[in-house]
Amino acid sequence: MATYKEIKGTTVKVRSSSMPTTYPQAAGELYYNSSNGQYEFLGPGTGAWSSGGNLNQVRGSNKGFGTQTAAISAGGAHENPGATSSSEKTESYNGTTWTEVNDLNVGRQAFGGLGTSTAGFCVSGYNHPTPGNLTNVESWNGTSWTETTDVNTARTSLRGCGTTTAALAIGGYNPGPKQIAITESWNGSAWSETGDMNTSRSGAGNALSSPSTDSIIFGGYTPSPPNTANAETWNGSSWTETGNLNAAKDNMGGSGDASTSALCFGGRTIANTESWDGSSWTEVNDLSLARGYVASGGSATSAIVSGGEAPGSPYYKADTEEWTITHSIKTVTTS
Amino acid sequence: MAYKYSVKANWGKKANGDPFIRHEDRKMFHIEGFPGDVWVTEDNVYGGRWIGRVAGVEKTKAEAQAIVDAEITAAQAAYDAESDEHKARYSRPTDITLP
Repeated sequence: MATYKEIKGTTVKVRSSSMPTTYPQAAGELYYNSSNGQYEFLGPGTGAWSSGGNLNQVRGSNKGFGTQTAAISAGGAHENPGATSSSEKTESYNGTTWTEVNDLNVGRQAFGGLGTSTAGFCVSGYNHPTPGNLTNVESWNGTSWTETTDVNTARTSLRGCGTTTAALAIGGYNPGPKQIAITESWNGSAWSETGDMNTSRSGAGNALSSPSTDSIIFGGYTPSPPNTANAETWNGSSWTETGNLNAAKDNMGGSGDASTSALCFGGRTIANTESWDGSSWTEVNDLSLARGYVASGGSATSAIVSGGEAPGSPYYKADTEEWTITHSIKTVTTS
Repeated sequence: MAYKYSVKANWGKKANGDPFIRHEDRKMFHIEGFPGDVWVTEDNVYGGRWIGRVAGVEKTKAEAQAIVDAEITAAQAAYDAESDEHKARYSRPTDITLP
């Protein structure tokens, strides 16, 4: 019989305790735990949503950026549906609690968020009822918002990715021609049009934390048929169609840090979550609360969703959920 | 799959880090939230423990459905009273049938 070393090329590792079960760990590792004298095996990771701290203010079509332990959620609608103003409120998350911080200069909803909790952008969006769709962009420095250079095309329900020195503003909705395919690139000082998406869309999901040179956008609202499952990857210069979501949907949340790693969650009245590994989408554990028009942040392995919209009272939500991947440890027994 | 029905407002995550729904919960039983703070959980020992931990108020399926129906009816009425602009941007809330 072959030995472990002959098969794996190394002896079984000795560890002083059980391996951590939270991502990222090397699933499938067999090791000897000297603290309990057992051989243990780290099983595959499984992702699931758990509750995060509630926002201080219910809101929908709010947008955000950052990570599961350092996130920003801003803007949105917060009164009854059809209310007369868009929120300028901003909240900061520390992994447990949301805290109100300095307001946006221009209230808005359904903008494109990107960046980190200390350096982010709020791009375009919709100010209800006037002036409608915005070209305005604001920059967050961890403390306050400052207006910066406008995008070229006013729009709402767009998506953003990248950093405050290299970013993308992708797609969105602009009355006449409605859903748009326009992508704008930010080089740290100006926005310029770059390669259009193959499919015009608004309210899509995307790898929010990805760089401006390696991203993916998925689903969204298109003129006909209303929803799409289509996904496209971005290589820094052009969009290429890739594997479709398992279900067409729109106004969902999205997270991820590359064109090969993303998570799509929720959507208009749905709770489904799909995970993208660079080649296919896999349905994974649902959100506990079905909702759309949410704020997102994080990666495909550690994501956050806050606020959003779904029927019921209140229509706008304060709920936060956190996506985490954990591994199970199995004790190896012999007979 | 059999379910239990309960009502409880989601407290999110407490200052001590205790979440309303824990990561472990999601691995042990199915749980799904509905309008009116209605929660549908898988009818197993873990789902039952969760209702106890969060101090949820158990309901029959009919009682839980009535709560959801009332929320949706109110949401539909609110939608119907909205402007055409709002209706163009949002879809009318649809009825929900609990599992």
